[in-house]
Amino acid sequence: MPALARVFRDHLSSLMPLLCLALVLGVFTSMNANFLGVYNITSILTDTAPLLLVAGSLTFVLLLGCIDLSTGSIISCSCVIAGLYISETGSPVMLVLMALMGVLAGLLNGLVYTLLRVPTFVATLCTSAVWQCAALLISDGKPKGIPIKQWSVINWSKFTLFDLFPITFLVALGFLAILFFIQNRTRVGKSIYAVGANEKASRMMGVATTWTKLAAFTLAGVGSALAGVFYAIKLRSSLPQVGTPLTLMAIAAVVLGGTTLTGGIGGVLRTLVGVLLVIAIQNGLNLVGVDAFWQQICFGTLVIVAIILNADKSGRDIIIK
Amino acid sequence: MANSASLPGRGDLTIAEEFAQKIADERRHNQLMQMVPGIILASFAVLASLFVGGFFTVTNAINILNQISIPLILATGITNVIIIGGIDLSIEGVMGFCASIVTLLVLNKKNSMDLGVLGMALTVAAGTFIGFVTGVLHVKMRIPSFMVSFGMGSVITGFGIMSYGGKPATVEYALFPAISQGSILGIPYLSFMALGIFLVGCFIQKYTAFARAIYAIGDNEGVLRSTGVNVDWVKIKAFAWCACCASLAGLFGAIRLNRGEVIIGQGNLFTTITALVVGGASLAGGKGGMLESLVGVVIVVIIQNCMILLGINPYIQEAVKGVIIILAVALSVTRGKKDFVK
Repeated sequence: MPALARVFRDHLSSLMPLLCLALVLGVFTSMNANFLGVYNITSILTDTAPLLLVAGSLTFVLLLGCIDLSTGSIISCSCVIAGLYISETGSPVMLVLMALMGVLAGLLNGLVYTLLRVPTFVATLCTSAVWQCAALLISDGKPKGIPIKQWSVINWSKFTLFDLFPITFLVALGFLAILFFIQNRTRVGKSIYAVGANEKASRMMGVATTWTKLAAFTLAGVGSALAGVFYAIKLRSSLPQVGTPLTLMAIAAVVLGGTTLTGGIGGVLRTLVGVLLVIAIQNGLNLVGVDAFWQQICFGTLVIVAIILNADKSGRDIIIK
Repeated sequence: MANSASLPGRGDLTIAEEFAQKIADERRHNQLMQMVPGIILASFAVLASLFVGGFFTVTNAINILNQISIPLILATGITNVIIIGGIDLSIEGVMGFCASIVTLLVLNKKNSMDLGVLGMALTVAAGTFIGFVTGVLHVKMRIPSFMVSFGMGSVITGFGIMSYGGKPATVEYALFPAISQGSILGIPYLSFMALGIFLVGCFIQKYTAFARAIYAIGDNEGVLRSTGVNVDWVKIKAFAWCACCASLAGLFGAIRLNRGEVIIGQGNLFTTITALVVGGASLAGGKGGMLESLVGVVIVVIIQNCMILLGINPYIQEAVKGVIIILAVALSVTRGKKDFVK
């Protein structure tokens, strides 16, 4: 019987986020019937798109057992650059350009971590200051709207499939599909799980741990930078501090999805559920009319609760710092 | 076979002698490393006096003493947390929260509260309680300290903003301007108070069992646990003391500004962590101390002061601190000793 109990428990842990999502949807729908209306679902999915990019790629970093606190600042920086770029020229080259910026930002994080051996939370906290500085310098600290004559360039983003699925959400899903492919079908994906579960053992088995780490951080950088572009397109302006709350929200989404902070357990599909959960909560709170101040409190609490639920309580001898 | 363990080139040393030699080498290396921050401080001070106009003046010296007070209090608190190998990212939040609520508890223009000194004491108590909660969550729920304090920082900042509903209160309590404007020999009261809190920190470090336990946890938690020390409780106390200092810093911020809002805390986390790692504390734990923190704080404040005097964009100043932290941590990492950094 213990085997059966274990199977049940394992499934419970992956079903938990789905159950929570159902619960959240139920609660908010009962409080305001418009919550599950077509218009609001489109709105939720639109909000989901950028967070999905960040959280999806951040999953790999958490799977390693590391953390990336610089995602928010990278988003701000790329939002500023993309906004200004669209204002000036607005060719699709921008997406490639921003992806490159993401590679750069992610590689920087990875190199500081692997080469200089600085713990990731400090390393990314510091690089986050650097990117925030860049965002503020480029934008001069002020938000700047994209002029109306350039709106034609980004009008494609308004398209919604079947009047329900916004194109940005579909693009984000496509990105997630790529991440899913990387996770399950490539050497990098397998290595990330191995390094996260047991770095020493995986190194002995011949896994290129350094490259694996660099790849994970680079992906997180790319995801964040693309999310910044999405914000620029969605809000039609370059905002130097748009990313600040997103660092925590992205971590909340990944952890709520069921990826542990200690590494090795989780995956990008779980993060999809986590992202929907976070956005549903945010949207629901707005719809019910809860103050914006409460949301910061709410997400902080959510992260802590999610980590408590996910934490491995069995290994009492492991020292947590 | 008796000498088979000794290395060639070390002569005919026995294992015991070799071990003693190794210890001596390590000690010499450590002593050298301990002097580095002091040397950096001296050279910075000399360079700044030579090349930065307006640095080597009495007014600026007083300015520096003024700027030192808040980072020094924060460093006094967080040093213990860093020595146990943890970190507290919520100090900005706690500071902003306490600055916000203290202005609402003393005589102010926003509500009818007038608790005076009691209000200040309540604020510090509330701040300390937040640290206690952070510590309990970290220890009992086994969440890494950076994560729990990051979440806690967000929560508490939210409560701070909510307390004044977006419109900060202005203080009308006469004690506030009296403290912020008073000075002895040109040195403001606040600097003396900060020094007082720092000395309390020094006392704790030198004469209490708590501080011994802190260092032991940083070095080897497992061993200390097996000797029967209540490690969890020591850690919780470290976090509570850290938050207590952060709330005092918040109080200072509110006194100086004469009003309370959460942005009083902003930017202080970076300054403090920079100060600690520059002073020689190791983020892996076990290294550091009050004196090291003081040296670090002075170095960082001098750097900050020079950047202001040189008219460097404030946005860049934050990034510079970030780079300094990375460099200092990278230099202090003991290569090859602890294999796995996460």
